[in-house]
Amino acid sequence: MLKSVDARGQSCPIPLMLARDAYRALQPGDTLEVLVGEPVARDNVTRFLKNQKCQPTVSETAEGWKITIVR
Amino acid sequence: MELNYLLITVTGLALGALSVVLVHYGNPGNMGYCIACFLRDIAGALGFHRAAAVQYLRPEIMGLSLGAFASSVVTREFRPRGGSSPIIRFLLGMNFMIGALIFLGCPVRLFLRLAGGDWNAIAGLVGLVAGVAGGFALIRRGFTLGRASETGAAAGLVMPALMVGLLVLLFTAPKFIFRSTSGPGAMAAPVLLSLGVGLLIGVLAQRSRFCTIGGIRDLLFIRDTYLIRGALGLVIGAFVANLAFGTFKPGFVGQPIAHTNGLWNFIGMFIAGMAATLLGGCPLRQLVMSGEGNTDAAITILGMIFGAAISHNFGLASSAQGVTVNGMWAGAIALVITMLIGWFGAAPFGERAARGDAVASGNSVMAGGD
Repeated sequence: MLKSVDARGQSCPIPLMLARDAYRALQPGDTLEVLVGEPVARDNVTRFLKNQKCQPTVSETAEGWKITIVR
Repeated sequence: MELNYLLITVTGLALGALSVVLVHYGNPGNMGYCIACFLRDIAGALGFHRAAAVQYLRPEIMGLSLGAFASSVVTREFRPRGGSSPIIRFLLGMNFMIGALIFLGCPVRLFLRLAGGDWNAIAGLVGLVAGVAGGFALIRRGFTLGRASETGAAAGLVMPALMVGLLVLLFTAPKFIFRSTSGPGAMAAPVLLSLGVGLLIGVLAQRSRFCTIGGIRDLLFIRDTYLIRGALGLVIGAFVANLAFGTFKPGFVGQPIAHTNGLWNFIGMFIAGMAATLLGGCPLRQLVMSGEGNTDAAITILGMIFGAAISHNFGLASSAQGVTVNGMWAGAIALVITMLIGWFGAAPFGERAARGDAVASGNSVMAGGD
C-alpha cells in the first residue's frame, strides 16, 4: 500500500514528525512517500529514514522534493 | 552524510571561537555574537529606540544574512516563499525579543556566556530548555503556523536588499543614523572583521542548518543528535578561545552585560525558548532563512526589531543593574501571549493531517495521528 505525506511549507520540526508518524504506521511491503518543500526538511527526513536502516530515494519535484522508501 | 556531521560541528566551533576573537578586538564581553543584542543595536542606530548606550549598525548581522543569501544562491537553495501566519510570527518574534532582553542575550549569547564562565546563564539555560519543552508540547498537541507557499523572487530579495541598505548606511554614516559613544553599543570590533566573520558564519550556517533551538529540541524530543553538535561546538570553541585569550572568568557577580536575578534569567529564556520553538528555529536560523528567501523568517526578524524597540522605549530591557519592574510586567504578558498563541494555534495532530498535510494518493490511507 502507498502512504503519502505532504509536509510542504511546514516549519521545523513538523515535516519530520509527520514523516516519523507515518513511518511507524507502515506495514511490511508498504511504500511511503513524503513531499517536502524545504532543503532542511528534505535533509531531516532523509537522515531519519537512513537512521531507520531504510534506503530513501530523493527526487526533485516542481515544488520541492519527494522522498520514497519501501518498507 | 559524514561530511554534514563534520560541517555542523565546524560551524559551531567557528562561531564560538570567532565570537571570542571579536570580543578580543572590541565587541562587548561574552557578546562576540548575539542576534538579539545586535538587532537591538540596529533598532537603536535607526532611531527606533533612543537608548544611547545600544545604538550601532552591527555588521555581523548584515554579514550573516548576506553570507546565507550568497550561499543559498550558489547552491540553488534560494527559494522565495512565505505566507504562513506572518502576523503571528511578528508577535512571536516580538515576544522572543522581550524575553531575550530580560535575560540579556539570545541562545547564541547564552552559550557564549556559559563558555565565558558567566554562571548566571545556567538559570537561563534551564529556562531555555523548559521553554523548548513547552513549545514542543504545543507543537505535539497540534500547533502549526500553517503552510508557506512559493512567492515571486522580489519578495525573497527584500531582506537581502534591506541588509545591503544597512551596509550602505553603515559605511556612509549619515547624520540621522545613531552611534553610541559609550556603553555596549560603542564597543565594537573593526567593521571589516565583523563583516567578514558574519559572512563566513552565514555561509557555514546556511550549509549546515545550524540552529541552537533545533539542537535542544531534536536532542530531547526527536532523539536526533545532528543539530546539537553545533551548539556543543559553539560552547567548546568559545571556551577554548576564552582560555587562550584569558577571558574565561567564572562566577556570578560582575559578569559583562549580565545581571544576577536567577528567576528572571529563567523566565526570560523560557519565553524566548517557547517563542523560538513555535517559530521553528532560533534567531540566527531565522536570519539565515530570511537570506534564503524565506519571507516568513524576514517578518520574524522585523518582529524582533520591533520587540527591541519597545523593550527600550518602555524600559523593559534589563541591564547590569538588574531587571526592571516594567520588564517583569512585560515578561508576564509576553509569556501569556506566547502560550495563548501556542494553545489556540493548534489543531489536533490527526485532524491536521486529515485536513491535507497528509494527502491521499492512489489507494493510500491518511498518515499521522495515533
